[in-house]
Amino acid sequence: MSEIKVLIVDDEVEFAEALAERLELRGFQLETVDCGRDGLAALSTGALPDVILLDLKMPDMSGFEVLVEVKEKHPSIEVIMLTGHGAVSGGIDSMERGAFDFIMKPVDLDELMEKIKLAYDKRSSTD
Amino acid sequence: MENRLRDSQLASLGKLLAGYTHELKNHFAIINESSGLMDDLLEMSEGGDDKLHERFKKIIITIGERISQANTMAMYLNRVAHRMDVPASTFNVNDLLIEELALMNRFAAMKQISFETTLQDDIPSIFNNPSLLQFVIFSLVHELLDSLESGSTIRFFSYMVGQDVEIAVESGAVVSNGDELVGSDPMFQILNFAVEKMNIGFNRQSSGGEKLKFTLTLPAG
Repeated sequence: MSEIKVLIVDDEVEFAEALAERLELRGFQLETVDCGRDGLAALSTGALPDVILLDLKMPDMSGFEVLVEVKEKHPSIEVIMLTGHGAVSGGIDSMERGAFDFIMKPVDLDELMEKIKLAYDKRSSTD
Repeated sequence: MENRLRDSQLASLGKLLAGYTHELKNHFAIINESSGLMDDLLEMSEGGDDKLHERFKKIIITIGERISQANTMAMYLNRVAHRMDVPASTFNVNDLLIEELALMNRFAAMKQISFETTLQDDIPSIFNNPSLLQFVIFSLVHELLDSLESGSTIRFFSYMVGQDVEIAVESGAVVSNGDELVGSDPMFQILNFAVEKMNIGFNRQSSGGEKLKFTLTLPAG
């Protein structure tokens, strides 16, 4: 499990940093960025993440836009959408655009870790 | 034009509410992760005062529980807000009742009145004005809350009658001003106009002039 590299793309810095630290304590490798453009830039330098946790609503680029670009350039990276919306429609739309899954904020950490592991397994099986 | 103005006004109110409930969920997420991190760090810390440790743990559990409750309320409020997006849509009356009663529970708790629901599982979705229906239910419940004694129960039912979906609201106890409530109260003139606009049935029964039962009949499909 320590091999799983996760990138969090979320403009809510305090949320992303606290979540990253909690996941690190559980053996994941974490990186966080606070906007869509930096998220895409992070994919052009250094080691690629296995899984991206991507906020749906961000001021510079929407999660949808980032998702489409990620899947175009790096189809094997799995993306889990984070959404604060009560409705699940945004999450379902994301899955239709190639996201592995989605999770509502506030997140259930056990559920999130399970989804990350499943996404990682899928990425490993397609490599 | 007046109807369009009213619809636009409701839609703008709905957008404001939806936007802010979304924003609230972001704050809840930050509090949730921060308290979760505190818990993790506390688990990792060695030595120190056991009693203090235990107290922090209890506080973190309380934060988590309250965040969960507040998040549920925000979710229901968000759904109610989105019901104002359009004048008509397809919806399930059980979902509508659950979210509305969760939000109205606060008013009931203040009067020590409880809600009880018996909702048929396989109710088909209907096409109508969900926001207006919620207004009608809100008004009926509000009237009953004003009329019932503390310790009473208001019962809600949903069920199918032929091709129609029915919602019944029963007072469950004697209503002192029951005759007024089924009579010419100005509130009921507004409700009658609302049910007419939705093209649904609205029946008021007063069993023995005491217990009250309101039935809303909505065509399915």
